[in-house]
Amino acid sequence: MNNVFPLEVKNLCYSYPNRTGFLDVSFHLKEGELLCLFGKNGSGKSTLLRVLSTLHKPHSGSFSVYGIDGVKRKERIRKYLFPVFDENAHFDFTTGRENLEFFLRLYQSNQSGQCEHWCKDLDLNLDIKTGEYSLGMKRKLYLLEAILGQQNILLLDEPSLGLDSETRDNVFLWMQQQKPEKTSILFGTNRVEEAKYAERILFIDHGRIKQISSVEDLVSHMLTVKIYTRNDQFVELIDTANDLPDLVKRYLSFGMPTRIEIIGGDEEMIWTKEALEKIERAPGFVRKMIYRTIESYAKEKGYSRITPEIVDEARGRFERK
Amino acid sequence: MGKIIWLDFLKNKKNLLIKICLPFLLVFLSYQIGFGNLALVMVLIFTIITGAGLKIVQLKNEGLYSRLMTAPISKRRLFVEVTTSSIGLYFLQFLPTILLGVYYNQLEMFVFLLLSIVLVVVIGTLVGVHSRSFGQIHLNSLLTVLPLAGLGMIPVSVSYFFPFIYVAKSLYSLEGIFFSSLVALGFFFLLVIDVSRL
Repeated sequence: MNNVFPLEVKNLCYSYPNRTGFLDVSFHLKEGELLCLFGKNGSGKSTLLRVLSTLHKPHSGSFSVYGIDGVKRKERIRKYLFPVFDENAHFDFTTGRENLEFFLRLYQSNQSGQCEHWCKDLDLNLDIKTGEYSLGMKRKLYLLEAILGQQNILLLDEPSLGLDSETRDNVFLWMQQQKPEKTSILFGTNRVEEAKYAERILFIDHGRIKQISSVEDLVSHMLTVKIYTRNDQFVELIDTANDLPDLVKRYLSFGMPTRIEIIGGDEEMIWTKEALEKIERAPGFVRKMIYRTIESYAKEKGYSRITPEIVDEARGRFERK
Repeated sequence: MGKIIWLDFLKNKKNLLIKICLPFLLVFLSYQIGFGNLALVMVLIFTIITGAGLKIVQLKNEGLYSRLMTAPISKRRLFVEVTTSSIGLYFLQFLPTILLGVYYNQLEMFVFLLLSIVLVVVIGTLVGVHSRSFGQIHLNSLLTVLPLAGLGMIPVSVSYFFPFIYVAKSLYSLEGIFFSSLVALGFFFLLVIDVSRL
């Protein structure tokens, strides 16, 4: 058991009938590691975590838990896993304590006696019915169950769901400090502030793992957006410039932005529909080369949006050369 | 899991009282016009299949089903626990109605009523396992309930493998107990085999 990874994923594929899902995913989780699966909504994080939790059967590829085949022997690998899904599922008509005891019994954990001081840390009252819990309290209870469940691998989907930013930081710090040494955690998130707690980051986009990087790498591939309103200033990170309208819309409730700054990023060019149509007219075998030439021209000139005029400019320069 | 099911069942006393009294009243009134046995069979089939199925779909909608399915426990054991607890609570819920049926027939009818509850709980659970939403549960319940209701009303040869016909016709036979138990047991095994793949 010492020579194998707690979790190893090889060329795993899964797709829903509408074709979303993930494709050819490979990675491994080391013992005691806190690994982040970072991606936007709909990038395939939750689906991947559901497959690894043995809830869905992958369409191809394989994954193993301590060397045990996760597809063929799901009953056996469940002994090592504690999945936390993106729904705060509890029996609403029983108290937090009864829920905790029930789930710890399912996981054959004898840690329920340890819960009192964890509850203080998390500011959680176990003696009221979970039906009366707020979303954040339910999440904290779920995470507490995961930690006390004493499983070797925790698969957490959006662990901070429903938590305010202060509690979110506390929960992540608490997880970092309190998790048993050998427990490995794979968590999915779309927030950079959470990814920074991870030792490694897997960046998942449109169902494919794009890069395995540190937080610094991740941030360098993103755009920092500063939104200024009359009274406040907000800093956010976005994946591509296409996400900007949604971000601005979200901040409208804080007041009309007076200035928006976009900084850094290895940003991909935005092609207008007309510019793309113009390129589509070129023969197929040179199209790729034309794309690259125009993009490097636009980058050189500092353009982030490619219009038919820029295509003409680039062509002019190319012909002159 | 059994304890949780019982707690859920007992949580709302007012609803529980309605659930106990309403079938009793309906069957009692039906006995006054001579259709009591038939009403008893229909009430059991319609209420329990839909109820047991809805319980499972509700767990799915609340996300609890996913948690239970991925927990390191035997799914066979889990479902046996769920089914036996459901049999117990439906028996309790319909006890006054069952006693009414026994009063209007013979004491031996109790066996068939009990077998009917076992069979419909198992079928209802199977329906729940294979349904994803409330819409699907309605459709699947309907597709299951209608043939069973037909078998409870029309005395064709296959009906005698199901306990409902003995209640509807107020017919007591030892072979009937044997056949009905066989079918109930068969469905129970089907459920156990079906859930072991989860």
